[in-house]
Amino acid sequence: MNFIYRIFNFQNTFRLDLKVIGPILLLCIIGLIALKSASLDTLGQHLVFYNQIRWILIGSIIFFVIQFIRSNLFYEFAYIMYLILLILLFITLFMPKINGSSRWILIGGMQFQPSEFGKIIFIIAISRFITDYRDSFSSHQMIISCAFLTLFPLVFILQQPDFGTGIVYLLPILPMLYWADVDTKKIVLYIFPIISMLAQQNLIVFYIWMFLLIIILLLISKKMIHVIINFILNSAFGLLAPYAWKYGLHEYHQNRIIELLNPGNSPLGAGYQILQSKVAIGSGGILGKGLGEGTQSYLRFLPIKDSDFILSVISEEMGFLCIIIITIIFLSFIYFNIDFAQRLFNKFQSTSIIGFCSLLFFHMIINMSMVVGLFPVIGLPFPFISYGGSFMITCFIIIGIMNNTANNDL
Amino acid sequence: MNRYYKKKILSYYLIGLIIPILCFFFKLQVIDHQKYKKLSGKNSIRSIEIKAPRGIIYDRNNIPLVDNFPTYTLKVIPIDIIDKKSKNLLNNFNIDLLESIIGIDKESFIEKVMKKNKKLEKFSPVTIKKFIKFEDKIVIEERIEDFPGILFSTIPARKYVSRVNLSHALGYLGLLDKEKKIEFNHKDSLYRYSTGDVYGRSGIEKTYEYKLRGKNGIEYRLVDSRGIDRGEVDQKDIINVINGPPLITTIDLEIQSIAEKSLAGKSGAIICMNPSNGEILAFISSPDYDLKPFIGPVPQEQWNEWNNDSRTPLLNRVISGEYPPGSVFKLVTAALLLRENKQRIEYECNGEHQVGVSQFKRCWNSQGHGKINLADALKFSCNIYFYKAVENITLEDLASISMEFNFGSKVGIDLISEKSGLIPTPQYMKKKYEFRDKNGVWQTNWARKGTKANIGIGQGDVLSTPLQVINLINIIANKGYSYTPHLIIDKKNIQKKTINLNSSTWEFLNKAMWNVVNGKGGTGKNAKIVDFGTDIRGKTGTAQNPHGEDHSWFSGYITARNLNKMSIVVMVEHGGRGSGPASFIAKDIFSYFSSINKD
Repeated sequence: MNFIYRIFNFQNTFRLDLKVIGPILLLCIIGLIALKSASLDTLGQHLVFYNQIRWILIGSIIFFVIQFIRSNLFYEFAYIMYLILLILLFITLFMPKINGSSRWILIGGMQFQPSEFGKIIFIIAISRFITDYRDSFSSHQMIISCAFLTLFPLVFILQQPDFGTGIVYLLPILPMLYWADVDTKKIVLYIFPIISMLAQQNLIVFYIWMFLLIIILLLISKKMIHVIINFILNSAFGLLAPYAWKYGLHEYHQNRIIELLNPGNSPLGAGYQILQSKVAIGSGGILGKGLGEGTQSYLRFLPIKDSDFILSVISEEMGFLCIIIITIIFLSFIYFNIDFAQRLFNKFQSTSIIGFCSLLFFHMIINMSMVVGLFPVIGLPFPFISYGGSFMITCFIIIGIMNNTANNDL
Repeated sequence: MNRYYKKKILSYYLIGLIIPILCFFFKLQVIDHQKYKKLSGKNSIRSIEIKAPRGIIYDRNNIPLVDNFPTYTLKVIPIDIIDKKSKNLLNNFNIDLLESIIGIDKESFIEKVMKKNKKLEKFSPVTIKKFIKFEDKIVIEERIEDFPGILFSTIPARKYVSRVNLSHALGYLGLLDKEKKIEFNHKDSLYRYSTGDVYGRSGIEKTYEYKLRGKNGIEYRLVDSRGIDRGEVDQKDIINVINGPPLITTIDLEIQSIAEKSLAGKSGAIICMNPSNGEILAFISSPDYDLKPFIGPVPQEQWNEWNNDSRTPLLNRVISGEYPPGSVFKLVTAALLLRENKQRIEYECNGEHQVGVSQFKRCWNSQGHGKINLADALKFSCNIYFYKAVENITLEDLASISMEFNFGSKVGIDLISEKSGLIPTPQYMKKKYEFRDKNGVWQTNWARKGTKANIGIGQGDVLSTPLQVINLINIIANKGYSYTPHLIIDKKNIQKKTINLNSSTWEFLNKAMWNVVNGKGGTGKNAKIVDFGTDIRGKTGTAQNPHGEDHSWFSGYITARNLNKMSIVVMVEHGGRGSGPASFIAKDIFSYFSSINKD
């Protein structure tokens, strides 16, 4: 009994905050409509559609349960959960490969993907770390120690390999640090070397970047010596990157990275998928062809259209207008939650909500860039719309936590 | 900086990130809408795999032996030719005409298409017939309105362009099915295989599969509802075809051609080599099979026919045919006698020799050769001398020196299914010939029955492939070493095998072989050519066998005026005496070789 009281607090108010729930409901409905239309006559009995409804129902139950969790629980268990996550991620490396990567832990007939739910745990752990040490650490110490905390799960995830998940572990840290009053200029200084390394692939781009870099450094640094040191550091990163690539990495790793970044090189022809996706989106026009009328999307790139390419189905059948509507709904959801975060007194909760918001946001923009061919196809779904069990539940846990916080701590 | 301010900054930041992506959607959906509309709908983009041609195979003088030519695969898209309501073929699809052009079966065609007419499969092309000739394709394309939904894809097929067959060396191709595909992709192949690719099933095509193979490409083509190709769509996503690299073989087309003609209509094998580097100049196993009339892989019925042919055209006699070597083997026995220093002993040949109690062994010359020494015994191929000489040596020694000469084990040519022949060791003989007689007593005196004597002259239990015999000749020609026989010009993987025997042994054997061809009354005189400065050495063989008339062997080598050497082994199944057909064939090839190696 004691155990239950440690986790739950039945005095919690249960109230559905329309600002959290409303946009999500709309997104789920749009997703279901698209799935209904796309799975029509392809898999026979709308299997995908009914499965998705099932996942949404399970998600709702979990959402309901989370409303009665003691809101301090996440703070207290953050580090323990982080350790458990690391252990689970380590175990996945020894699991048999499914579709070329070992992301899942198989127990009996069940599959379980730790890195999926790990997204939540990771953000909670980072939030606690930031709030615990914000006052005692300098900005530099803060950034470096957060980078270390990220490194451990990231190494396992890239080893699986799962490039997409790796990226969404990495990106939300920046807004969280920013929110926690870490000096923006210093955050930026840590990002520059990465840009330098990417820019060195093209000489002209590299020159332009170096030029811009000097200007930015002059603007943000107070001392000339900092400008010079940073500039030398960035040039070194840019110039040494090819050597590090050549001598620091095994050919096996090089090939793997090239493969991840250019799926189009694969003989299965991811380039073909992108092309079909573009045709589907482009042929939709402003208003779309109408539900069930999409000739393009349901013909060719079936295997992942339900999850990663659902947006091309929507674009084809419901048009550009629907894309705008989805964007507005999603952005307003994010905005409302940032608004909560601003009003929250508890620093931990405030930071973690910013983390969750950016997690969902990065999923969204990477998925959108993927379907129009601006980003390599790395398999990130669109929150609440794409088909898929674990990610749907992850999303529901996230909004559950958000709703709980909004009810009880605002 | 307070949080309110940060909220604003973050929100602008989010909007700033999303707007470029929305602009991209706007460009696709509003600005380029017409373009993509044209690409969608009934028109569709199809990715088409372009099969890479395999490497061209050349002879040593860069004359192509195997080239490629395009053939076409006919495909149809079920949804384009099937009426949605009645579930039958569209009326305007002229199936009868198609049947008359390329001879497909109407029922099986409809059945095949109907089977695929469901769910998603109805949008992807169904292969109807592979390896259609260019002429037939033209006829179909002229009447494309009669055949909505028809597509052609190009597949390169092998074309055997030279006047020789060379089929046992070149080998043939097969079509890759699903299971084989997995097997091939597991190996460290440079390029991935897909179903419907061809692969080498025998010969050079198999051994050098990964050297000959190219990389398949992918092209995107816009195909309209009638299946008519409207050209390529996106230039930038295509994957280019990489042709298979050419392969230069060691075969000399001219020698091959002469040799093939001389064996025409006979069963047998010829192999010509350069003993100084192990390159194979000619490689004939007769009868062979002709791949020229077939477009693409040979149909199964034809395989069955060849398999059931009593003349066994599919047997590669050079490397898989195991024959008694006959008197050619006396060279090995002689080498042993020389090593044991027994070459000076003379024996009396009176035409027959008694072995054991009641068995008589005969010489081919029933008159007898009189008192005869080793050199003359080789020259006249006297059996009696060797019967008697073998009595003074042990079977262990004979077997071990034979094995040193690579009899009884594979020589290591770069072709599959080489056989190792058989050298009977004492253990083998015991197992085969010892038995309990009626009284239950072990009969162990197999040697008394003349079995050992038989082995000494290459009869009885000895079996060898022509490849092993030419290896023996190479060793003698090089005076003590030989190179792995091989079919492509490539210095890797070539090993030198050495035999440690006295140099006088090699001199003796060479002289004896010279006498066989050039000496008065030598058995190989029919292989002699009149060309000053050219030396021919050889040894004939007349191998008795239980299947019929004797096999006729000639093995030897020529040293041309410019000191180039060529070794040769000719084996004519049931050809009679070694001094007969085999020697004449060798002579033809020798005279060509000496004519091109004057200076």
